[in-house]
Amino acid sequence: MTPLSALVQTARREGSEADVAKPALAPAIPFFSRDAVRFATVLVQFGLLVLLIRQFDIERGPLGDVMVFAWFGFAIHHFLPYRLRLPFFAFLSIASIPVAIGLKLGAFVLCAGFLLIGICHLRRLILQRAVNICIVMTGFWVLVKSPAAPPLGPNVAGVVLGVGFVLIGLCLWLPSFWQRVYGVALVLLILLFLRQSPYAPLMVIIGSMFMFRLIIYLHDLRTGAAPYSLFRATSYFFMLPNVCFPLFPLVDYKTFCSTYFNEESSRIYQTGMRWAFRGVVQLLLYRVIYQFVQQDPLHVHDLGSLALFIVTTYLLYLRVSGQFHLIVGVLHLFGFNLPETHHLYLLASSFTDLWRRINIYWKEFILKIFFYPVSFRLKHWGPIRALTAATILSFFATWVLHAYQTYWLRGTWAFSWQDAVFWWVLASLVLVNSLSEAKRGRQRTLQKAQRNLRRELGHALKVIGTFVTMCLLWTLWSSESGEELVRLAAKAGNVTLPAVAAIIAVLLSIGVAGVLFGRSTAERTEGIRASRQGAPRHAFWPSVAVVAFGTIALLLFGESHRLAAAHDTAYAEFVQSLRADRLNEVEYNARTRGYYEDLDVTRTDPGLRVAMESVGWWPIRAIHTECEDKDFLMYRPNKDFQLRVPGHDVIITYNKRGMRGPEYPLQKGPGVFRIALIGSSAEAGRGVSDHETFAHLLEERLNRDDIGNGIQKFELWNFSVEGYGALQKLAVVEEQVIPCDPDLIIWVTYALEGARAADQLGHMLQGGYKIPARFEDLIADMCQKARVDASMNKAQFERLIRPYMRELVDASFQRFAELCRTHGKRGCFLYRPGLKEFVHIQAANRDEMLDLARKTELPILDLAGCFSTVADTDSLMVSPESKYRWKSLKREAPDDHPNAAGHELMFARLYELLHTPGGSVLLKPTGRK
Amino acid sequence: MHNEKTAIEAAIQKFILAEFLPGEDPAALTDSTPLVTSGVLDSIATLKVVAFLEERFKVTIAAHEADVDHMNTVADMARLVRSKLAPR
Repeated sequence: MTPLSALVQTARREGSEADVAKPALAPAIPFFSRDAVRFATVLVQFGLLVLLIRQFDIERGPLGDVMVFAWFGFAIHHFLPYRLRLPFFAFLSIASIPVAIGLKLGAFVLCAGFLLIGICHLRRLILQRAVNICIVMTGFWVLVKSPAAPPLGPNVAGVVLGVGFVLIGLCLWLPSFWQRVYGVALVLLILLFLRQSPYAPLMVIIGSMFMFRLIIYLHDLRTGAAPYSLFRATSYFFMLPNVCFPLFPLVDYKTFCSTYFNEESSRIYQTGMRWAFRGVVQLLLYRVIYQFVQQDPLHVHDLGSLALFIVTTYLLYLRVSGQFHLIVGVLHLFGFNLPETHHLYLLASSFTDLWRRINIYWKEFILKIFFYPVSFRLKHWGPIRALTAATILSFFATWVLHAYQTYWLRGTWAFSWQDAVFWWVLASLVLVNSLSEAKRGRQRTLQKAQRNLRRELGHALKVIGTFVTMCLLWTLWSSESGEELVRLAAKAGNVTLPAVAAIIAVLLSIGVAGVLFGRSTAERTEGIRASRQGAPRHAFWPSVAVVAFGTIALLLFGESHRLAAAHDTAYAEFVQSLRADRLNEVEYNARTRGYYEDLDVTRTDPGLRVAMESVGWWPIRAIHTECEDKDFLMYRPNKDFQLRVPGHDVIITYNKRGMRGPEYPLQKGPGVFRIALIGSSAEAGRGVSDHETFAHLLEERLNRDDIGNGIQKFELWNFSVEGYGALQKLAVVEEQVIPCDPDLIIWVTYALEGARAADQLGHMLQGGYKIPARFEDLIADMCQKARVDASMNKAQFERLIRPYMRELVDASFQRFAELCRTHGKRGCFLYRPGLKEFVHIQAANRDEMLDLARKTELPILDLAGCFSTVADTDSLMVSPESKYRWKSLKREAPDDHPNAAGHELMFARLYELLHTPGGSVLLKPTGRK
Repeated sequence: MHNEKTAIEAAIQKFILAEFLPGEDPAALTDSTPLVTSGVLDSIATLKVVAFLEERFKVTIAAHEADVDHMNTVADMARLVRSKLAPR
């Protein structure tokens, strides 16, 4: 324990924190310095920040709810007596887990967590052993018997129970520290084994809490570096808001304990607010770069675009930096006055300087567990040799532990040549810097450093050099292959004068910023830069002004797309795009690669998404059945059933043919005009009742107003199935639609048809589904060109195959047109816009699909703009925001499919198009009957 | 006791000034001047300080003691040395 914290904590045992801080005869405190006033100010700021997080759906899903929870917790926590604050934080941290992932899944995480903590504290006493046994047995009983558990085969259950008995043995016969270490390592190995099991999503969360912190905890347990208690351990491992962040700062246990309320509380709170706000700003900047600036490497064509690609690849690290600021900021609100992380790391002037700034929590971990122990053990080698060996070992450990982290979070090891090159080049650079500093020393001073032009110029050049090197290294680390790097390097030869000018301007800006702002290496509370002589201590209100006004400005910005003047403009779409996490809807990994991007498992791991967000309220399992014959129609609707969606006033009926809508005899009656509609989820009517789908509305209206001219009845057969892409739709046309003898076949396409095709193709190839023979050659050819195979992870597969999906969609469209002609059927395309589709800033996908449709020479009914009469398209969505359902303790995912009003607009536009001169031709009787 | 205290602090102060802060005004380095948190002492410098303390005061410092709690100020270092010198 630090002397300071020991002093403070000893004093606090006798009374409250306020008692410690207050002098015996305190003078009257000015209004703006009163604790209650400052606390109220922080509470308001925190409330605004929570609104901002919810408005922009920061980090998707559960964080918004957990932050509301944290806000109430903060309000209560502050008023508790000092001795109750840590237990309350422990309770809050535990409770945040079911809030985020549900009660049942949360129980698994907590059981596994307490098991691990328990093993860390094994003692010889019989009573404690008995308690340990009970904990272990209860944990495994819950694990195996809980109705929430995924179905376990007898083998897996046997293994789990076997492991349980081994753990009981450990509880009985492990008295020494190192035996406890082995025990913990064994449990971690078992959990790693479970990483490949149905429990994988839970392992991500458990891993994020325990994979590294256990090492620190055991280390501090051994050295007696910090006090221990159940509440401390619980707070440390389950700390709020860890459950929302698989990638979490590696907080040091000793620092966690020793910084707890080690300053005046209002100062700690305001520091937290400032850092949390900064984190949110960085996360929004990340979104801007991710969505609007970063290019696909395939589109790099000259030096300018290459430089932009390289710089933005490094800047994507803003996500991690933003997350860490936000997390550390929230922890400050509960009294943990942790050090600042990622302090101006883009302005580092050397690689050792970068290492000391960027992720200092990791740096401290490596120093504590590897660098110092090795240096001390080898000090008889001499300082230079010991330093060299310790640095090399530290980076080796960093490299291996990053792969270990990847396994926990993604379930795959990440030992690629890119990782190896990145870490060893960085290790070499840091080592050279370290040796240089060890031999020659570096400039240090307790005063403000004297400045002169030569020194400033040198500093600026160092900052620029470090920044450029890190950008290049990061690009290498994030690259897909050596060939990609060679291809990118070749583009550097295409030099243009504006590009050179822009690069020089950016580098100069970095250098100037480094000179002006980059000297400080750390920051203290309330945003005051650390100075050698200590910092002034009265910057509370300026900090409040920055956070409060900044948050309000961003909140207003987030709502500005609703202004009438912004309606249907590129600006409004820009704002809406930033408000939504559209990463997995539109680009889904196509643009962004890199170690930390891959670790964003809440985006790419469907299992974890289920755990974190729960599933949408659409009861897919109740509607669809996976095909037994493993052909490439992966799911088909069940037949002849009705479902009332719990909690929603929605009735879903599927007829005996497995279609939404009424059932008609296969044999067409006299005067019947049969329309076949083939689309996906929106057409299948996800989220709306039977009588609200646009297909139903169209059929009803046609039968009411358009009977005549030889047509006695319209029948609309809705073959649409949720999740279907171009290949599945084509198969449905061939196998089901044509035999029904329709008069008109409407193929519904949309902007994401290509992306959906890539998604489906990945699913099919990796799931072992059959590919229709006529597509085998085409798909094999595409896979060869994209250099993909079924062994790749799904995200990587989709990323590489996506550029070739145009060919696949083109082939599907052509085949559809050919089928129509061959069978004498009237066919057409219907373009259906999405409610989150950005027609101004994202027109390329739509144009591409329409171009492909035009190539077939079939008519096109374009519904684009059908929603534009409504200013707030959120009002047309089934569920624009995720909602927490307290009854089930589960989060309901947002659903951007059109609701009844949306279907009404789609129907109105379609009906209108069918009565234009071009569209009315489609409804003319075919003259067969 | 007072002399011993002064001697330890003075020796540490003299070493730090000579090794890491050449030309610095000695008055600027007090017993409570933060050295690790202000960036004067990094991990390499900390190793040098540890080597000095071990050699000068004939004590053994453990790896886990090379942290901010024990090395941030001259007073912290002196307290660590004193705890090692104290009869057990």
